[in-house]
Amino acid sequence: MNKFRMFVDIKKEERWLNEMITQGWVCRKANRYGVYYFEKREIAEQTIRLDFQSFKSAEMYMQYVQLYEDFGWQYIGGSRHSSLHYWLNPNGELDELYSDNGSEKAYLNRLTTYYSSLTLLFIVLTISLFNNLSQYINVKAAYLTPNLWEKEGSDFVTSFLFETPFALLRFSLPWLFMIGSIVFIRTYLKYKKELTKNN
Amino acid sequence: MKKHKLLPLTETMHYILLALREPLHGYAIMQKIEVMSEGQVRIAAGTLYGAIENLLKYNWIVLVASEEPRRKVYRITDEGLHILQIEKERLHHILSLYEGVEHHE
Repeated sequence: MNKFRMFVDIKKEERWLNEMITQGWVCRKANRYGVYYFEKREIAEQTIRLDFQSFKSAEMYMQYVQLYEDFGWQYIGGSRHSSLHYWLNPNGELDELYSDNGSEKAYLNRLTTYYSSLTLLFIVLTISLFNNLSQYINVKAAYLTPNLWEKEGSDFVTSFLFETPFALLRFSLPWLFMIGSIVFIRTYLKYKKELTKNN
Repeated sequence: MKKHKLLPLTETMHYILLALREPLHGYAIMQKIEVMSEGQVRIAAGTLYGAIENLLKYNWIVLVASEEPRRKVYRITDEGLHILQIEKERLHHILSLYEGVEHHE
């Protein structure tokens, strides 16, 4: 079974994947586009953990994957250049990736940095979109076909329908990025808070 | 002298450095530590990876050539041994305080 889901918050994603396991669905593959492939399983003693790591070299990446696999984790999503890595523990015996405070904190730290840079990127994009697009207040103004509103009959319908997707994009893009910024800020603050609580 | 960022060593770091006085690959480090600590310390994969990454960065451990090219083997360096020496003195001192022995130097 394939499922499509979009997550901003890594821990929410992890929780969802583990809830699916308790319902008998084990994720066997996850990709960066939000597509998850699930298999039906009877044994519920499995855990999925989402790790966050970037690698200075292909060499370090190889060491990373080899080490986790030696520990019995199965690599179900991620690559050399993705920071997000999906690990499935098929026997439920050793179900955490981190076993001391320091490394747990370092993990939260990496997440906080990640969300803060995403927040910054989205804020910059939002501001530049609001500055460069002028159609975000009036949808009608987002249609750029000359004399569109004077056209009549099928001529109007064709031009109108043709341009609608583009007009909607011009109208909604700055707003979507603004919502994105808010979502990222909230996630960032959540992890920031968790981090200070751990100190 | 300013203390190194990783000093005093965490329990995890301590055990890893002690274990790597003989060359071992990642999973064998965890197994050895479990024995050394009489089952008290069981290091998880992410914690071990992070520690190895850090120790390599400061050159306290190095990669050594092994027959199995995929499975990397690590060993402590002279710098790492020096760090263990510093820690040994620190712990000796603390132990002496436990035992109520006056320390004059």
